[in-house]
Amino acid sequence: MTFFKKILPYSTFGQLSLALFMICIVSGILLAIPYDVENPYASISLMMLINPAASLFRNIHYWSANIFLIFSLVHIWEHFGMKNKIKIRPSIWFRLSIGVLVVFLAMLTGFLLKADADSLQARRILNELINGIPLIGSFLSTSLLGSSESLQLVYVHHIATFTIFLVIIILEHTRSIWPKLKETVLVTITIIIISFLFETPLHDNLHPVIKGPWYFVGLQEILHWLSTPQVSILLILLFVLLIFIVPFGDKKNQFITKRSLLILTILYLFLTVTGYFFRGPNWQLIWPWNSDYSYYIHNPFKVSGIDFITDKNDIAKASSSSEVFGRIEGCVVCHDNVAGFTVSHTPQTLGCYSCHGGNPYTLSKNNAHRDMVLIPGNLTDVNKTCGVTGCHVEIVNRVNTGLMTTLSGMISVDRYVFNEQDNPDLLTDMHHLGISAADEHLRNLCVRCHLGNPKTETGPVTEKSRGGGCLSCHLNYDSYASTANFEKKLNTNDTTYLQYHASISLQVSDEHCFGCHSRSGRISTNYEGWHETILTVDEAPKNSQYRIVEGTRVFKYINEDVHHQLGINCIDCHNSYELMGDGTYYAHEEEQVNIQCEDCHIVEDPKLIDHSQLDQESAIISALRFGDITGRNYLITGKKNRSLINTYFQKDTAFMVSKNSGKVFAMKEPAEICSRGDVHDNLSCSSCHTGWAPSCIGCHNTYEKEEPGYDMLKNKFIDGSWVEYVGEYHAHAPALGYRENDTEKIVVPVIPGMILTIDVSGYTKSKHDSLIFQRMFAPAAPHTIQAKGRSCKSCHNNPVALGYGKGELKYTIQGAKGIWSFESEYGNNIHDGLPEDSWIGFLQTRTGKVSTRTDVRPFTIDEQKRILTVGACLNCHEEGEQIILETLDNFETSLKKRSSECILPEWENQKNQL
Amino acid sequence: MKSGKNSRRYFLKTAGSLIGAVCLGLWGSMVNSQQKNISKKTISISLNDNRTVLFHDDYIIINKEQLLVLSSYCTHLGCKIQTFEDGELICPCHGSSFDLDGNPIKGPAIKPLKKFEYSTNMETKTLTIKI
Repeated sequence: MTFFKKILPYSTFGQLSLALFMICIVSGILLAIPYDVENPYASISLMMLINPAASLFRNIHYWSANIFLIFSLVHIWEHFGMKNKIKIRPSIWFRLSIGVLVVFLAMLTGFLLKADADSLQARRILNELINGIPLIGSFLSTSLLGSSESLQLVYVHHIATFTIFLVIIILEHTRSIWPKLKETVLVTITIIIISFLFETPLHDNLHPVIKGPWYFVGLQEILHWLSTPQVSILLILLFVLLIFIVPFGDKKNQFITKRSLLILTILYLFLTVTGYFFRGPNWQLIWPWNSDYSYYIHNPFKVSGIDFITDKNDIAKASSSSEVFGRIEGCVVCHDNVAGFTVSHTPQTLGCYSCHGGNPYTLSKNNAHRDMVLIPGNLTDVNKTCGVTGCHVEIVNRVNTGLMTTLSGMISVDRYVFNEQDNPDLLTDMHHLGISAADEHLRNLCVRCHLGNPKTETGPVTEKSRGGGCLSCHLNYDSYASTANFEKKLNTNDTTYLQYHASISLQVSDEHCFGCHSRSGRISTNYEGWHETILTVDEAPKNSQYRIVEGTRVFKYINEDVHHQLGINCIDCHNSYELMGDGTYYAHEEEQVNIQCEDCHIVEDPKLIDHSQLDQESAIISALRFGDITGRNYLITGKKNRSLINTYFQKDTAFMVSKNSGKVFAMKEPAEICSRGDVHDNLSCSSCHTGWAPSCIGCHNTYEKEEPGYDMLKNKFIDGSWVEYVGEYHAHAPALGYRENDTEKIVVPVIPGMILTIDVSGYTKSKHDSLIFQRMFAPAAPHTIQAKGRSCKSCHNNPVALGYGKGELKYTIQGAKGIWSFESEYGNNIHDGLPEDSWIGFLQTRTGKVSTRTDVRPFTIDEQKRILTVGACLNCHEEGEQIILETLDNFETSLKKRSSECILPEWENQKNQL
Repeated sequence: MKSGKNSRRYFLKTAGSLIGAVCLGLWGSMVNSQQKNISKKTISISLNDNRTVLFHDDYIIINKEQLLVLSSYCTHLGCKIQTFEDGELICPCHGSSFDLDGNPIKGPAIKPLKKFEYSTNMETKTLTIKI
């Protein structure tokens, strides 16, 4: 204040306000030239883009008005505090008090004239608020806002009604409308500087946060607590009344009134700060330490300045650009004729700003690119790119619940294996990773493959790609875009790449999945028929039976999945709700996966819906892929009733259309043998039709503090890392086990998921920590399906299928006794005395910590005996023989019909209980 | 008869008040007549059974077991509802939320969203809404 008094010793806030008022009027008159009340939002965006002078006047108008509001209120307080009070007649004071209300109305109508998302909502609120006033509400709202959506009446009130009222009351109490020259010059210079530096806010109509003008943000907070919002009008009138009565009371009353005003103002300021700086989307509070704080709070006063140098050609180009979301974007002036977009994502449809952010209201490169997102779609900023209002909000929210984002199963199982968790099925999220041996193990070796891992460089998705949010599946580079991107890397000055844009499309190829799914369960490589070996690149034979992945991993060809052989891609079976989550958190992939073999290979009547019953997302995707969907029918899944949008049923046959190639496949019914009798009713299709599955045994994990490591969660190099020493990799028909829970009991393929040792002491540095040994099998979906199921013997006479591991399983008949024996190929492990590759011992079983799921177990001894009894028959009979086929109908009856030559197995210490 | 000065002032005040009252009456009549011009709108759009929630400027189409056309105006203060998250219709202005039947779940709104009458024509696949 002292500084202020030195510069302007005889001035008051009233005089400064007067200067601001005049600046506001003059700038407002000039602003009326480019402003178009018929097309307000577009006209403002255009003036910001190509008319720097108009843009400056808009800023001047905004800042002078806002500072006028503040100074006017301070002036009133200043008036209260003057020792030699200037006497004002009560009637004038009354009008001045009403004038406070009019100042707010003038400001508010100015806010409405922007016609952006904030303004349109504010208009609705104002209309509703006034309409709710008893008796005169409707009359007042029509008189103030008009009866149509046009802003004409609002404009008239802004430039005439309220302005004239203010001029009158200013004249009435100052007796002069002209501010002093010194104040005017100083205030004008200050306002021009501020206007040069800070833009006037304009909502982008995409941002999810809706806020009123800053001076009503406090009121917005109050309204949140009022179910009868008209009470707020009484509060406003109370505020005006308090101002009015201050001069008329005695000293004590004056003191009380002034204190009341001060307390109310402080409370209101507190609410304003809360609402303005901490109120995020959907009325959630958001704090400065939240990662999205700056975006959600959307600091509207961008420090971008005004660029007066504009090219005439640019102006012409911008003027002729088409409107996107009601505005004209400057981006297309430089980035015109860019090729490569899909129809739904062209700049003409979405503009550039919707995906890339930045500043669309400028032709200056630096200003336009400030805060822009070069690579949109990463989950860290997906809410301001793909997930903005009106685009893919719902999907983006779901993606965060999906397993490819949470990695719940991977984390839970790892902690379970490290004995840090009692249950492998607990729900968790990779953001909950802390500091422990298991969590560090996950950070070092596992959690790179998740959708949240950001894509940081331009270029197509390759086998080395991990994560990238929406881009991990939907990014496609055609040959032009790929070449341009490659050229750019060679020569950073080459700008031809700007002519080619990658497309964001529904064409999700198997290569998109490959990067992550060629690891761990290796579904992608299995599907193509490749099995990972422990060979080095130098050791790998140079022929078509071997393949190098990521430059270091050597794969050997075994046999591809029959679906791959036909040309069926991953997304032909796996739909959007599986891949992008369905809003439910799942512990393991088999819970999230929806498709089952029998959904397409139908045994009984198909489950169908027609196009009108499709859910919103499926209908959109189906229409985008296949055009007009009228009259189409669709198969739905048995598990969750989700539509399979690329299927239909016609003339007793189910068909699938490949989403990428358009190739049509007739889907066969299961072979007669699959459904014959009921003895195999509890077998999953994959337990028979899985051709082979990868397995690894004898893995050892240790923590090495000298090893250069990497924290995959934080994406940074660290000292010390968990190191995995692999044992042996094999490819053969999988073992089988039971998934048994409240809803199902079914035989599923299992593989030795965790037969390993972990030296925890290396991490904890405690000598008391012993070596952890685990022998757990994991349920598997190997994706190596063969048209012909595995033979009877490959289950009933196969030690691997039974869980014993490799070796010789032999049935010997000695006289009238049949004896099964097993000799393991591997020696017994010192930790549990079982063969290295086994799940259970021969004719033994295990319970407790045997699987990476609580509901998956090996066969019981009794179940093994039943399987081996059939195996005994197959010891003599060929599996195609009629007698063997008849056992499928009724095994017990077939047994009764056996001849005296048929010797059933005799179990040690037990009689045949079958 | 009172003094001329008093009488004139009285007359002017009375006349002024009368003129004011007449003007106010005319103002009211004008606004009233303007409001009467606003008749109920009937909107026809193509029927899209596939979208669970479809936002328009004045209304929201809900496709559940039965079609429902709700007003997009929040019953608290008329804000346009344009967000559907976690099964709720959310008002961006003051945080009210509604279920898909339009019933308020979270305040400040306490009244359900207005339901508009509609009719469907399955032959032409059109939905006609009276707003």
